[in-house]
Amino acid sequence: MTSPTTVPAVRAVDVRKSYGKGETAVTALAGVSLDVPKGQMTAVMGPSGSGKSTLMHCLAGLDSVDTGSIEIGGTQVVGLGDKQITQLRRDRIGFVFQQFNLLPTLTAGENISLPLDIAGKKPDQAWYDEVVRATGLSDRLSHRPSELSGGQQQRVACARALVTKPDVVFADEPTGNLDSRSGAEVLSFLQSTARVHGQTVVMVTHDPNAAGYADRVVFLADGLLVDEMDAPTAEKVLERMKRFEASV
Amino acid sequence: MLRATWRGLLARKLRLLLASFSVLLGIAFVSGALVLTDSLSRVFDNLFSTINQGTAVTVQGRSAFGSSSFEGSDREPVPQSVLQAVSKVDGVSSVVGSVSRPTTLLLPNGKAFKSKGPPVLGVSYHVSSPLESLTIVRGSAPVGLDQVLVDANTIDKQHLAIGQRIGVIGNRPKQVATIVGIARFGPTNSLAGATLLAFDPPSAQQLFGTPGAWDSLSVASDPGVSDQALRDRIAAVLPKNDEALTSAQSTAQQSDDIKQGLRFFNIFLQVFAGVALFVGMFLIFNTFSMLIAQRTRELALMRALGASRGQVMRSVLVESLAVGLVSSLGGFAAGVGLAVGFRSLLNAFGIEIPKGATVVELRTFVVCLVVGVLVTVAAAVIPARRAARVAPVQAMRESGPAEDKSLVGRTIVGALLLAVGVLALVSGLAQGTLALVGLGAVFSFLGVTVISPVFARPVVGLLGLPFSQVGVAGRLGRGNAMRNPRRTSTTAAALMIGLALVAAISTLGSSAKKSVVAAVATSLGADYVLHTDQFMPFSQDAATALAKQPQLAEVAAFTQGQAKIGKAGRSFVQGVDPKALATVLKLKVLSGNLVRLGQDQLAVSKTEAKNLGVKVGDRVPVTWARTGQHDFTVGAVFDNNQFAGGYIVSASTYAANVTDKKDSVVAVKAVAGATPAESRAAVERGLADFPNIQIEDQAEFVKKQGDQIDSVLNIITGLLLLSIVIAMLGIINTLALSVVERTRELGLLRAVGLQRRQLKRMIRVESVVIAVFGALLGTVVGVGFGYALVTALHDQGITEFALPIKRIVEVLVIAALGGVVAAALPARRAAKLKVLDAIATA
Repeated sequence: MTSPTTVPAVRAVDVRKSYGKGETAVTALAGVSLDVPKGQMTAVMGPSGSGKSTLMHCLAGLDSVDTGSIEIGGTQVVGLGDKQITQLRRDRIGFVFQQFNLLPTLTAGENISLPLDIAGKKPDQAWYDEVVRATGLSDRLSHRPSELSGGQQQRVACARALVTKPDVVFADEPTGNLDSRSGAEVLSFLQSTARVHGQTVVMVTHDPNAAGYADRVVFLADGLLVDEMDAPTAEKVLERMKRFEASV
Repeated sequence: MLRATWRGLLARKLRLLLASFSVLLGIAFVSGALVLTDSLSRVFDNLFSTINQGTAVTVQGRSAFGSSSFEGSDREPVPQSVLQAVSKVDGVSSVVGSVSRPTTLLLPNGKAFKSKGPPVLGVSYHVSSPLESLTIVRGSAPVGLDQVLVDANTIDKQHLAIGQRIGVIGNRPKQVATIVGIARFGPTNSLAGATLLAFDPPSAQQLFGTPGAWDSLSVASDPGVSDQALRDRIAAVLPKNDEALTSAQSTAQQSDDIKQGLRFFNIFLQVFAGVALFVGMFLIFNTFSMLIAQRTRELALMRALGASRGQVMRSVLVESLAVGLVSSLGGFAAGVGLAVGFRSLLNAFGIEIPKGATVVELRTFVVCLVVGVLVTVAAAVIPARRAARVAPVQAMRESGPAEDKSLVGRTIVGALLLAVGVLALVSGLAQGTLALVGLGAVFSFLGVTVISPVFARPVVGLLGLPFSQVGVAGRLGRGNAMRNPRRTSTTAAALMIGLALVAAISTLGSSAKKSVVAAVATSLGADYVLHTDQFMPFSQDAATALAKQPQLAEVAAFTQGQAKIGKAGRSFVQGVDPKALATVLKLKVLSGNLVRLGQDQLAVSKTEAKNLGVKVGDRVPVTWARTGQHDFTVGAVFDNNQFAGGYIVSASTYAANVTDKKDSVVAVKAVAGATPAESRAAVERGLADFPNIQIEDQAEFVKKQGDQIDSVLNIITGLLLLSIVIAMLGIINTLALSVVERTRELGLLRAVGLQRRQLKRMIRVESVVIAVFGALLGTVVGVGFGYALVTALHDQGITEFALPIKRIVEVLVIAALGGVVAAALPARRAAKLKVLDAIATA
């Protein structure tokens, strides 16, 4: 019997993925193994083309893998049918994309509770209130996305990702489209969910500043995990990245 | 620029396909109707020139008006003495007199043969005359009252054989005759499906015509004498109430009669084609609008690169031109095939069309091309202008087109269009100008379409409410239907048109049915109404036989024909015994004395008296087709009565002015105290020799009329189905384009856990809500039209208004089901989207 703390939120073992066939085949992931510990915010970094987005898509069940195994909260994802995988995404994974996170026809509040509505579940009111309070948007819940700023929209998206208390939240360049102040708000928000609520967060980013908010950073290059760093700061990450670019 | 257009067209060919299909369907109808009528008129031209082969001149009585019975013509039969005079004219090689009158055929089982359209004619057969158009193919020529020759088509269709005994009812009660021969008519088995029962000439005169006289004479000429010269010589010896026509003239006259019927059929089909094209325009408009909205950035880039507004507009118009051309050509070709289909449809109705080539005139091709291209380009003009207005700076913007512009301008324009439409409709109905009514309808539709986005959001929201209670898919679908009220409205409007027309005619139908019930209750005093199938006139001997039944108190025989009455023009006139009339109709005489209606006197309804501006004692010129113009005195004015009609003369006055002395309706009142069983038995006894006459009591009469109204309604509704199908294509197209437009949204939904099944349901809900919104609009507009129609037709006997509740419910349910069907394809496409691709779509 294993203690709960030793079971990772996400576990990937020797995940391989390539696009195309024969001569033109491009290897995106060349055998990645990764454990994402529970309750931490993990940043996945790497230069463009390193496979970080592909890795996140595969981990989140949005894309298929060629070989390898991926577990979310102990559940094997590889080999599941569309229906089960959809249900898994709905109940156990939260998403924050770079842009276009919200449905324009729904209000902010409705967007937040969307995954619960899809599942036909009643929100845990205390948790819902907590999440909404944390976004600082309690007074804007009845607004449509078009009436919110970019930063506000991303915070709504974060709240939406958290509302189901998922095993893991995947954030794909969540601040890519934001100015630095709004970006900082969103990142602090994600950081606090991990630190205060013990929420596991996996964030893909190419921004050392963003990675500085994480508890741990893993570096990806050419489809392989090449390094990792605990307790990162923006400066340390920037330094590490520079060395990468020098070596390439 | 043109190359860019062309590339764009190819890239979007699938999206344009459905839109062009809508134009194609409409054009196919236009083309089919034209090809059919051209083919038929060619066939009949050929037929009649064949029939008249060998006939140089035709002699017949003069008709004061109308060339066909359809137009109320009536001719005095030509006496034998005239035949003798004509035969002595120099240049005449032979003359035969012929008889041709409507009659009733009794099949060997004793039942009256019910024709679905073509007439049953009793005719004469002249043995060994070169002028006879019937040729015996089997058996022998008929001799005497009990031998008959039957056309091959009827023999076939009714499974008759030589030696069988059939009955005919013409001037007299049932005459039984043995089939002795089978004949062809000219080159075909029958005269356009008509049943021909031929007797030897004296028997035909006795049974159907006038003894000692002929309905017409056919004259053959000596060699070297021209038709025109012979006609002039013959005309010189004719009495003043007979006329002579050359073979070319009579061919044209006969052919024109049929073509008039065909023209009506053609117009009927063209109206439906017009409706379909109108609906198709909405589809084109919507498709182009959406495509341009989606291409805003691309168009802005072109503008930024230096394309002028005119170039952008032209590029869109060229695109629509290409779509128009392709769909017109397709529609034209499909229409030629459709014409063959229409033909078998006519055949199915028992209207046998003589065989002949399918005639495709150049005119048909040109009409299809011009109409198809014009319709398509016209529908694309507004989207094209919108495309031209895209500013270059929009290339740089992230967001798509602004969706929420003010609707104030729309409200004003829509209200104006609607006001013009309603005004045109109402005044068109009041004046009886059909073109104005059509224009009014078109403007009203446009007005409602323009104005409908104003209330689309609340109404669609309300319609979607039940769905949004059930689950998130319903809520999302409802939201999607509400998000772009313009698009929802135009899509729904296409459906509105077809359904509005269905609702309008259903309202008219249900009102007509209710009016019949009311009319019977308020106007009919008779216990039984007797008439034949399709109200074909029947022998007066029937009324005579009924009058002998002691259980029947009053037997009123109505004869019906046409006459020109003063400034009212050609009108229906009934001849009836005024004394009997008082018993069988609840007729209120307002002034004068109806019972003592004398020779050269006329009774007029209240409405007609007002129209003519006459009162009792005034003189009105009345022109009878056979006897010409006479001055009649208004003898009585009666309150409007459905069964009395506008004009009544006494039976004897009628008989003095009309050749075919047959009754159309006999109304019977039983003696007081007779049970229904007794009185019905008495009527049945009286009609023992007339199996062609139907016996209906008041309830049966009401039901029969209602059934007839229903069957007409069903045919019209069936033809309107085309426009409804096109509107459904519009829903498919709108949804498909929306799916493309919302790819990223769909991806997001799937990413956060929406199942494929739920996604499909979401699209279905949007589709159903749009469809039901369209159906509701259609019902409201249609019932409005129906109300206007009913009001306008008040004087024509539609006195009551009734909502066709059942039909409305049916329409709404069908629209909802249609919405489900229309959603199937776009929903499948949406469900097939790969989540990652959808999210990644920039």
